[in-house]
Amino acid sequence: MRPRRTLLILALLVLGSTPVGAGVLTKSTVTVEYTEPTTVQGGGAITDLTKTSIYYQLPGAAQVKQTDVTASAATGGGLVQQTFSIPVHVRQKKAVTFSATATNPAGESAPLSTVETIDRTPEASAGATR
Amino acid sequence: MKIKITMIAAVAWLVLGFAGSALAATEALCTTLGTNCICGEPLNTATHDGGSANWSSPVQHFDPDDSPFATQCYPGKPAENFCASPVFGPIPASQEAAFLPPGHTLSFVFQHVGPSICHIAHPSISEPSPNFTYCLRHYRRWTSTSEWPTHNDPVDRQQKVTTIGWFYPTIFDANNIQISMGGASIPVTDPRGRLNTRFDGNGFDAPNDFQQIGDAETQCVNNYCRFEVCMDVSSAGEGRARLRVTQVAPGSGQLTVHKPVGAVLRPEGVPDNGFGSGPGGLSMFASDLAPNDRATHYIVTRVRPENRLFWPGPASEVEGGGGPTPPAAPAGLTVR
Repeated sequence: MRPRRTLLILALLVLGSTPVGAGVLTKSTVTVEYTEPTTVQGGGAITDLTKTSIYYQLPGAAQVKQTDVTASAATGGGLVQQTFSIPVHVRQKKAVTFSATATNPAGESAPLSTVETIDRTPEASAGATR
Repeated sequence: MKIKITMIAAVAWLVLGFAGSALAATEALCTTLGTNCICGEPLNTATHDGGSANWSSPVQHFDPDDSPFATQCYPGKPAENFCASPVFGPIPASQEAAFLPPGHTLSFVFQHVGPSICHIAHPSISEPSPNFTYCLRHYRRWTSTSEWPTHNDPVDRQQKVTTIGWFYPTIFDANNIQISMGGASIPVTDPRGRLNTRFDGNGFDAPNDFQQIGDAETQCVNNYCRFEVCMDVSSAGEGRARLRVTQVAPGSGQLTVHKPVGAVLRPEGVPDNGFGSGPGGLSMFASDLAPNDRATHYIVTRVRPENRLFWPGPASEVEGGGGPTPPAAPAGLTVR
């Protein structure tokens, strides 16, 4: 019994931090990636981009602003990568909404969002493929 | 009494006459871009060279009055605008109302009729280090009475539309990023208003590629088309070209061509070697062809670092929507 539990823990350690498929993550640390806009709403070139922002929202909870990222250039186009932890604990499985927005002096853009399931149940970790 | 009236008239002329020029400004996007705006010619004025309304032959060099010295193309030089075509000059925008976006604020657009050399140049490119994006944009419409190239034409009738041009690395090495119409004999399978694209020359030695980017006769007659061409030079000195044609309201639609990357690296960028830019810019030049077209809002931009997603985009004076606008949303959101 004990060796089997040890193996399970090892499996969790080795496999538990990798995605098991599209939209399902098995770790609480995530990397969000996106490209800054190069246009304003309506299509004109942006010349005054100041920052982008990353938000997440857990089911039944308020949206949380994770961070502001200073724009790579006033004309946008930079690739943004941010790694941070989401409060989804071991044995929990939650659908998390991630959003990114852009801001210039005229205001904040509409959000670009995606929903990812963070599944930290032992079954999910054991079923991780890599 | 007579002296007093004369003085009042003189003052009025000074105030009102000069105010017409002084108040004229380049387009809002050029102001917003600041040092990233190389130059702009809105072509939204009735006069040139400080108030002259004579646009007829034999005058061929024009400096339109709505481009301030600091942001005009080729400031102080006579060849800013050279047009030897039979007709070139402003017409009231109201005459074009049916073909312009409903939110435009234009007073004039420029009319061009007939063959011959006619273009508004862009300055010699002076980018002595890589990692930049250099773009041109203008609006163009052809009338329904415009002459078009001919299929399998032995004369090779043609018209240029827009060109980023430079001689590099020597005066004998012409480089082009261009949209044109006609030229090589058009097979009957293609429309006679076929818009051709090219990115050639020794500068970056890109593979031959003459992709079509639409048909001026069916796409740019009942509405204006926004023509944009961009040269992207990466931090390693790779050269790329992007070309885009957008049908603006009352039309709709957009076509984009991405050229293959060139085989030659230019880690030194594209420095100004004193050879000039060649016949680049807003090109109206027509050979053995009598086009009848309209143009407005020409701008030249350069942004650093290289940004392969950057386009000059709309002029608010043409397409409306002026005033502060929030950004579009970011793109390509992924979580892993």
